[in-house]
Order: sequence, then structure tokens, then C-alpha cells
Amino acid sequence: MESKIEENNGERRVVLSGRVNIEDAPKLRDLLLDSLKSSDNVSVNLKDAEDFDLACLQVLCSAHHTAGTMGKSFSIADSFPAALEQTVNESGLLRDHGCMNDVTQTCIWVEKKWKEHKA
Amino acid sequence: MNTDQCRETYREEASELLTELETSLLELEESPEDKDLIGRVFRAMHTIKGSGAMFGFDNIAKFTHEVETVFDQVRNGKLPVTKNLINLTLDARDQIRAMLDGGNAAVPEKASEIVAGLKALQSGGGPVAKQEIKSEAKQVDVMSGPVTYRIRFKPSSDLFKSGTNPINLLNELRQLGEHKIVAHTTSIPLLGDLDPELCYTYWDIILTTGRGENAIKDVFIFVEDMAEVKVDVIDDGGSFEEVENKKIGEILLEKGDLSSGDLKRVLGSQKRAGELLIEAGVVDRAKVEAALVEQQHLKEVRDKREKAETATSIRVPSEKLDMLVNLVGELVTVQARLSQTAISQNESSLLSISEEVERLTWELRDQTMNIRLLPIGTTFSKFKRLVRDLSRDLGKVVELTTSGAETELDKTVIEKLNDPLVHLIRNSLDHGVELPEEREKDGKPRSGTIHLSAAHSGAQVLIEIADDGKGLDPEVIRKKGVEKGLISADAELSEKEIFALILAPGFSTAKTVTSVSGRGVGMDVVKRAIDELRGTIEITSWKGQGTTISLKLPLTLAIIDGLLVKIGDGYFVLTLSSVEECVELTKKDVESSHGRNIANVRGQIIPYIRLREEFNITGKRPGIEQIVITATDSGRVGFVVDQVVGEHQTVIKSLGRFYKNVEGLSGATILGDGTVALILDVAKLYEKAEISETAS
Repeated sequence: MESKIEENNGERRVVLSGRVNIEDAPKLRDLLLDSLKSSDNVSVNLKDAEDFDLACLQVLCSAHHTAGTMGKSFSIADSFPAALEQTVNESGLLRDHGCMNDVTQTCIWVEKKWKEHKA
Repeated sequence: MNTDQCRETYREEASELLTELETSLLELEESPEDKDLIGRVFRAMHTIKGSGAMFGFDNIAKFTHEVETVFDQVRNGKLPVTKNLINLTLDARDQIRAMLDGGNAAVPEKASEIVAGLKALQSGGGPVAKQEIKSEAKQVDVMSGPVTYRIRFKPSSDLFKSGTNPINLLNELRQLGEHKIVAHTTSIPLLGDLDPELCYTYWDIILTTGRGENAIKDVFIFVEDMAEVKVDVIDDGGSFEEVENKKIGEILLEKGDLSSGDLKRVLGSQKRAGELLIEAGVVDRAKVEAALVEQQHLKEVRDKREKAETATSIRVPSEKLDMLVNLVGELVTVQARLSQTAISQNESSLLSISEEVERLTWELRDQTMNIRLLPIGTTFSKFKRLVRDLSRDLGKVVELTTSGAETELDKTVIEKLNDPLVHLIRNSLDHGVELPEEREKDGKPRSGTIHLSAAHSGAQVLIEIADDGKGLDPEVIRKKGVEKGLISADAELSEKEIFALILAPGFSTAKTVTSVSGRGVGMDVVKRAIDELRGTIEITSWKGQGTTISLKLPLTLAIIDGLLVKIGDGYFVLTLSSVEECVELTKKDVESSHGRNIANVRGQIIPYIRLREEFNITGKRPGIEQIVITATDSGRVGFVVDQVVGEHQTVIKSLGRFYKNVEGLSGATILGDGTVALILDVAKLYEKAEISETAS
């Protein structure tokens, strides 16, 4: 997994490329935790990323939950690659409403968003 | 059911599945990303294989397994849908068909060739061996009625460490049947506490399958020590009286996600239970959502079952239907006799019974005919394949579009229509649609189109084959017609008449004889086949723009509505659908036409044929005769008879071997009093009269 950080108008964007799977999950967790500590508005761009697995999706889910408890925002930016959409769909994460951890009601797995942002 | 019957049933079902498979493959070629289509192909293969093994078609099961394995990989996104894959699978489909028929067409070498091709596709397509084992396991599952299960799959947190990907398990469950999967994520901790190598997610799966609980448990067989798997039957496919749609609260209680005390406490107000439970903080929103998904899934399954149960169908051998039609035919004849007897005796009670029998007989006739009707679309899919393969052989780009596939026609008509349609489509491909380069030069799109359509038109079905090719050249056809001696050099023919020349025996304008068409034996065979079906054929063409061939066919061949006429002591029947009107022919009319057989009907000149002369019927002509005016391919033509008796339900009987070649008659029927009436072939009589007039 390759990563770079982009800053724009107070928003921190974590741009990932290449394989994003369980081997990269610890790195991804640290990257997102650092970003949430240093910025109020974090997004992750997965447009050029591939080969996702559940371990990484759990990290993204946790990042969203963490952002909510810190009063910050976390989202998946831009268009969603087809491989990511497939993994999210196959893992049964897509839903109509967020779970009880979704205090800000901005759950990243809400199906409507995925339809809107289809790559 | 004995073994032979089971094998026969398998043959019939596999045959239908192969047709469906072909259609799906051709559609998949157009939309290679369509997951539904991939699923359809896989399911067809899977059923052919599974049932084949069950009924002793081991060679089919073994061969189909190889193809299914490849499509399993396609379904899992490990192999793309390519032209090569479609070609190989279509070949495999043909091979299965040949194996099913048990003829010489099933060449083992061909099967090995296909399997080798598929294996070559697979190399680089993932863990083949594992897939094979998995599919073999499926083969022995016994299919039963669908049951809906609720599965809670809660893996231990160290699942990932064993190398297990839970998504693969979910995908295996998906293959078992209709499903809804909800992931629960509430246990995923905050980033600071998250161990990314642990699994925090668990799932509720609602699955409707006929494969049984064991098939579900088999999915989890390798993780049973690392996961909590709870399988509950929530709908056993029973009748609707037994099952009621469950309320959200009941579902949550059953799953153990809610206590009954909390439920009672919250259900005090008028809001929806789900909202109340979330507001009260006794259940997580995700759990309510999972329960809602379960409720929705059950409702869908039950609705579908209700539809399926109300539209139950049974499989009946076509011979039994033929026998039923014959019996109805006999009944119609006897009923006519009964009506005649009742009328002649003028007995009111008998008349009333006769009328009742007549009404029931007509209803029975219509119902029986309806049973034999099949949608013509079943043959359309075959033509898609034909166009695909032929255009490839000819180096052309042609798309076959269809409409009216749902149009219903008698089974026998559909069967007999197959060969003429194949020939017409081949002709359009070979002679009509140009090569892509020629089309581009003429400013046309590279890809040509052949449109096959069917529609009801009164008591007939209109089938059209229209191409956007180079069209027919009337001058070339005319010249050829003169050369072949079909017309004289100075004959004055309309464009329609010129086009009709290509239906004459031995006519061909193709410069070279190809394997596709152009032997000059085609169109007359088509014409004869359509004539035998009591249909008509018409050609319209625009040079450079295309040709349309229209076929008009009767809905059924067994019983027709006829017009009964009398000449001398003999009775004849004309097909009512071809009759336009009946007018009188007086001696004065005959005199005013100066010996020519023409009548002036409201200012229009109608030629007529005297059937009395045609059939050498002796005796005195009545003072006022009747002309029955019919519509034929060549225009309106009249038939002079002594008397028009009226409409008649005509049960068609063949004339038998001796009279098979008598021109102008297409069959016979038995009247109520046992008299035989001959059925006239209007088109043939006109053609015959025209030829004799030209000769004279």
C-alpha cells in the first residue's frame, strides 16, 4: 500500500494506492489515527487502491466511529473503485442507516452514498 | 415414476435449460458484466449437472462440471467473460445437447477439446482444484422445497489469523439461494483500541434454499472451531394459512437481541416498534435493521411462493395433446350431426340440449387449442445463435433484433416454421446484408440488422424478417425470370409480382453457390412449407435499403373456421379468414362480361374461377350463382359456387396418400350428416388458373 497526505483548506486527505489488505491494516490504522489527531476534517481517497479486505474495511469503520467521538468528520472521498464497492457489498456492510456508533449519522456504509459516488 | 420416465423428464428439462443457457450466453456476450446473466448460466449448468448425475447421465454430469467450474470462477470475479469463453461455452452447450440426444454428434474428442480450451482459460484463473472439490460436493446435494433460514455467523476475533476470509464464506452462502446479509459493526472499537488483525464483525444472514441445513453447515465446516454458527428455520415453505408475517419485535425476541420485558415496556405508545426500540436504547439500530431485512426477505419469499403456487403448471407429453385435439375434432363433427338432427326433428327439448352441447363444444375447442399454443420466442433464441455463427463465417457484422417473442402459435405450426425461417434468415445474411466495408462505402453503419418480428393479426400471425441490406433488384430478377422461362420477355408485371418470382422452383440470382444459400432450391421450398401451413408469403424490397419478407400464418392447423359452399350435390369449404365477401352472379352479369370470367363489384373488376368447371361437376347451373370473393397474395379473386351454405367449424382431415398431389385441395372435413366436404386451397386454384390462362 502506498500513501500520501494532501492538505487542502483545513481538510486532510489520505490518498491510498495499490493493495489495501490485512497486511496494511496496522499502517492504515496509524495513518488515520494521526490524521484525525491533527485535522478536524479527514477523508480517504481510495480511487487508485485495489484488493481490499474486511480487515481494512473495519479500520475505515473504526476511523469513522473515532471521528464521531472526537467531534470530527471522516469520509471516503471522490468516486469509489469497483473493487471496493464489491468487497463492501459482499461483506454485507451496505445498509440504509448507520449503527448505534454512528452518532453523527454520517455512516460510510449507507447504500445511498455508494450509489451516488459510483466510480 | 420409473427410471425411464425419470430419464425422459430429465431430457425434457435439460433441453429447456440448454435453450435458456444459449439465450443467456448470447445476452452475456452483449453485456459481459451482467452478474444476473452469469448467475443464470451458472445455475443452468449446475442443474443440468446435478440432475444428470442423479438420473444416470454421468457423462453429461462430468462434462458439465468442467464448464460449471469455469463459470464459478467467472461468478467470483476471478475470470472475465471473453469472446473465447462464450464460444467455448456455446460449443459445450452443443456438446451437451448431442450427449443428451445420444446420437453420433456427441464426439468424445470434441468434448476433450472443449475441456482443454476451458482449462487453458482457467490457468491463471485461481485455485482450480479447490473449486472442483467444492462443486463435486454440491453435486450430491438433494434438492427439496425452499426453506428460509436465519443464520447468525459470529466468528471468533482471531479468525483472520487462520487465513480465513469471511467474505468467501458469505459468497458460498450466496450460491445456495436467495439471501440478505447484514453485517454488525457495533463491536468494532475506536482506532486507538483497534487491533487491525482481529475480526470484530458478525453477520445475520437470511437465506432461502432448497439445499437443506447440511449444505449451510458445510459452508462453515472449516471454521466451526473458530465461530459461533446458529442456524434457525424461520419459514419452512408451508402453506400460507400456517405462516404469518412476523412482527419486528417477535423477530428480535427470537434472535435473543431483545428481552420480552423491554419489548412490553416500549410498546406502550403508538410509534413503530423498531423506532421505539431504538429510541428507548434497548436495541441497536443495526439489529433492528437486520430484523427489518429478515421481515422483508420473508415477505418476498412468501409472495413469490404464492405466485408460484397459483400458477402451477404440469408437463404433458405433446402426443396426449394431439390425441385431445383429435377427440375434440370428432366431438365437433358429432355435435354438428346432433344439431342437424335436432333441427330436422324440431323437438324443443332436443334442440335445447343440442344448443347446450354446441356451446360447450366450442368452448372446449377453444380451450384445447389454447393449450397447444406456445410463444414463438422459443425459436427466436435459436436464430440469434444462427446469426451469430453465420455472420462470423461470412465475415459480416449482423445483429438480430426480435420483437413479439410472446406471440403464441400452435405447437405444430412453430415446429414446421423452423426450417423456412432458418432459410429466410440465412438468405438475408448471405444475399441481403453487405460486408462491413461495402456498407461503409454506401454510408450505412458497419453493422447490419435483421429484425425478426411476430404479431397477431386477427386469426392469423404475421411474421416478418426484415433486413437493412442491399435489397432486391427488380431488373435482375426480371431478366433471370425471362432466362429461366418463368415469364415472357414482354410480360407486364408489378414490382410485387417480380419479387414473387424468386419463390419459383429453381430460381437463384446468386453468382456463386455458397454453403449458406444460393443453390436455388431454397425459396420454393420455403414457399411450399408456408403453403402447407396454409400461410402466405409476401416480399417487399427497396433497392439499397433492405428487404422484408412477411409470412401470414393461421394460429392453428387442426380446426378452422370455414365457409361451407355447395356446387351441384358436392360441398366445399373455404378458409373463412381469406373470404372478403359474397356477391350474386346473375346471367345478365355473365353476358355483360362477354365471355370473360370477370365481375364488376362496385366499380372494381374481380376475376373469378368457376369451380363447377374446375372440378368438372355436371348438372344445371342455378339462375343466380354466388361469387365468394377472397384475398390472395396476387389480389382479390372470386370463386363461383351454386350456393353459400354458411359458416362451418371445420375439423381438418388429411386427404391421404392417394389424393396428396391433387392441386387445389388442402384437405377434407366431415359434415354433420356424414358427408365429406373438400377444403379448397384458394391460392393454388388461382395459381393454376393463371398458368392455364398464360398458356392459352
